Amino acid sequence: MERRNFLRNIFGGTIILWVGGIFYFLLSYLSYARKGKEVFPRVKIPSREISPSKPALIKVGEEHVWLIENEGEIFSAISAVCTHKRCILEWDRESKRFICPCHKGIFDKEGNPIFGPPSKPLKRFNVFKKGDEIIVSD
Amino acid sequence: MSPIKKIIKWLEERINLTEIFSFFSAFGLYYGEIDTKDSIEEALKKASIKELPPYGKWPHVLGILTFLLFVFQIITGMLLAFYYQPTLLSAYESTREIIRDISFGWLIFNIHRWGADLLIIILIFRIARFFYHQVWEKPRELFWIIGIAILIVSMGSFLTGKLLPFDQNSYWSTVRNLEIIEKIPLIASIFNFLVGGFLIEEGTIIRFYFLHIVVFPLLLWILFYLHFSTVRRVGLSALELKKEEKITFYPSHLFSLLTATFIIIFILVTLSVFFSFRLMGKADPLKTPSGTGPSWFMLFLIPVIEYIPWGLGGFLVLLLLILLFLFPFFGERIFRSKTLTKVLTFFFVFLYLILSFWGFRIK
Repeated sequence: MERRNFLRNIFGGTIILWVGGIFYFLLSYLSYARKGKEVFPRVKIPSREISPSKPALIKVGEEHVWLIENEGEIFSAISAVCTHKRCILEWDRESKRFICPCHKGIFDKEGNPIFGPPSKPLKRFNVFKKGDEIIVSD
Repeated sequence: MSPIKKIIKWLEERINLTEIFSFFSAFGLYYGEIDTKDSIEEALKKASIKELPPYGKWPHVLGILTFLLFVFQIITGMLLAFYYQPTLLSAYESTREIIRDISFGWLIFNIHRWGADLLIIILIFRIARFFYHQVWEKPRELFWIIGIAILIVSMGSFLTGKLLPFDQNSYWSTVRNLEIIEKIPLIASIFNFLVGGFLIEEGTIIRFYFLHIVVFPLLLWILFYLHFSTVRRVGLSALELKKEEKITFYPSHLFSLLTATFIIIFILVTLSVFFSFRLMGKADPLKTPSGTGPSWFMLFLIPVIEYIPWGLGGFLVLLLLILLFLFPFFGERIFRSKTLTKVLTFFFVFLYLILSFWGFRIK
């Protein structure tokens, strides 16, 4: 390799390292998530706040979740975020279905898509009752 | 034709690139007139072979260093503004988040703080050098006046930025700074008008923040632009240099510019790593920590204001400030001898240091 080429490569390499380093540290600075995420988010709800006729929209970690009581104190916690365009679903008590207000997608009470644009099922959360409290966790 | 040239040609048919280049060159990238009718390639070629006066290199780079530091302040300040929240409740917490939790946040915060210190130091040096080399004589009056204005506005920017982390040190330091400002007649009224009082509360933080990120930087951009235009019109000081020394923009001037940039980055990063600032706990108006005083460049005002009776110290400071601004218009009659000016420069710098040290002892 000629000396001139060698020097040029060294110079170019240094510049690339500099620019790359600056970009690396800018990106890592800017990519900071605002609030520290919980590893296993869990939420406690008093059981008197919920009944078969009154479901609750709660927040588990960063997700909105419908907490529903079925007959016989069987609870289910299902993500309230539509898998199509991330609208917040509404719970229809008569038909026991989730209805999306944006594009009229419909999910059954297990969270499976049965009508409209959404094709993926809703995320299900763990839920159990302990004393007077219902605990929902991811 | 290479792809870059194709893109440039495509752009050139739709927008006047030379005009944009001439705008950027207004900030010291290049000295000399640019014909906006030329294509960008021709303009760059003309600019690169343009002969510059011999002073366009080390050690006469304090001006461009100031501007570089100012640009670094803008960049790091913008990055800090992504996470900082200017409210009484979360100013301290968000600063702590930047320093403690966000990757490289401590580095950006420290570069911003050290950059501010360096900027003021270099500006003071610059004014001393102007005085030493008599860079206020006709036709450079405006050059001097704008230089002083840049120093004053930078100090304002420093002082407003000082409060923003809202830890004990910044709070009490600001309290002491305001005590001094309150005693200087006209400045106090201007401050009162801008911020609305000398108490530090919610409104103060927001107004300081607004002054710090919008008003003062905008003023500085304008002042720098005017400063560079005066340089273009009257040239820099007439220094005693050998006549045959001539340099061109490319490569010598560009090379010294890049060297200066790298040296500044090096100094800032080194200072930030080895002498990083620490937060002193959230500001508490009921607990004064020991050892906090005004910002370092305000120290020399303390003896002047405290030891001259009947509040005349403040008037003296105001008078000095006005004289400093108007200096080019009467300086020529008083400072005829060059040797006297040079001796006086050292005397003034010495006086400044002595007063600062005195202020540091009684702060």
